[in-house]
Amino acid sequence: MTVSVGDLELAALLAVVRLREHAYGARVRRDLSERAQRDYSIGAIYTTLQRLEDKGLVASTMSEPTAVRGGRAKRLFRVTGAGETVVRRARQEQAAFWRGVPSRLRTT
Amino acid sequence: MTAGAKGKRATGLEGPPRSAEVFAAAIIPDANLREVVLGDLAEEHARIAHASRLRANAWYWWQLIRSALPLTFSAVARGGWRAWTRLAVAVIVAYAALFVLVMVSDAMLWRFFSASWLQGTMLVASVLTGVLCAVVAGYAAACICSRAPVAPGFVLGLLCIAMGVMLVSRGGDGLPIWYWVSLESIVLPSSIVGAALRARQLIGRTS
Repeated sequence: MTVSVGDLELAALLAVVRLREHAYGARVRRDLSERAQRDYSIGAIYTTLQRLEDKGLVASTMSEPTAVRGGRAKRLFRVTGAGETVVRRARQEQAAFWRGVPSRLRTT
Repeated sequence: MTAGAKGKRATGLEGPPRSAEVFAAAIIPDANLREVVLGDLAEEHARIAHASRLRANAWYWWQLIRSALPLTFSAVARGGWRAWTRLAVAVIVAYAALFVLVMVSDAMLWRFFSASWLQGTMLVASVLTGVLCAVVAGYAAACICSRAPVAPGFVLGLLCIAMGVMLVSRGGDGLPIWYWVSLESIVLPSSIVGAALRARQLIGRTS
């Protein structure tokens, strides 16, 4: 069965892949905000991460509480096997869509 | 004492504004998610506060305001059609209760302020009792929809505004426009406050 993901869901999934063991809400939000150059709200990030978890694309565990967080724990996310499959498929789809596009439009 | 308070006391750090944390707690009904989100916000707040505490507080509030809707309604969305049904029932019941409360309170006010020179005072009193009625209705709605207590308060407020706009467009029952503007501008925050009061009670029970 194929799982479909939206743009923000894919971006969050890729952020979780990039951040590895440091993938939690605040870091994902900062990573996406810097790359997209727009300020995402923590609410939008958590609802997206929860959707990804509901779809089985990420799994989460709780860390130890830290003082800088007011004595609260982090929820650390990691990509599951299904999540990795979705990332690979998204990459293939992107490549397929870009094939045939003139090189002058590929440069940023 | 909450985990957050313990942490602050342990480190001597001055955390985010207390009122903002109370609001945050009210809009995130799930206890686990609440602790995680508040922790993330506290971490970012501390990072920004190194440069400017004022900017950090403004950032914290702005994040909460923008996060209120997605966090409130994600709890309903995750509950499926049962949660949506409960939300609809909560809004309908609360709206009916609000209607009855406003009618009764206005009828009582009319008896006290029947003289024509007291009409202005009667309208001001009507707005004030309207605030109380909206708080009670928001609270009642949150009692029915405990999965996402603030969500029905929000929808109820929007529904009241829509009905008010419709009434004004049809002549506003002959009442002055300032009366409707004041009523419309306070009904949404009042119903949310009522719902948030219930949310705080629920948090107190679970923590």
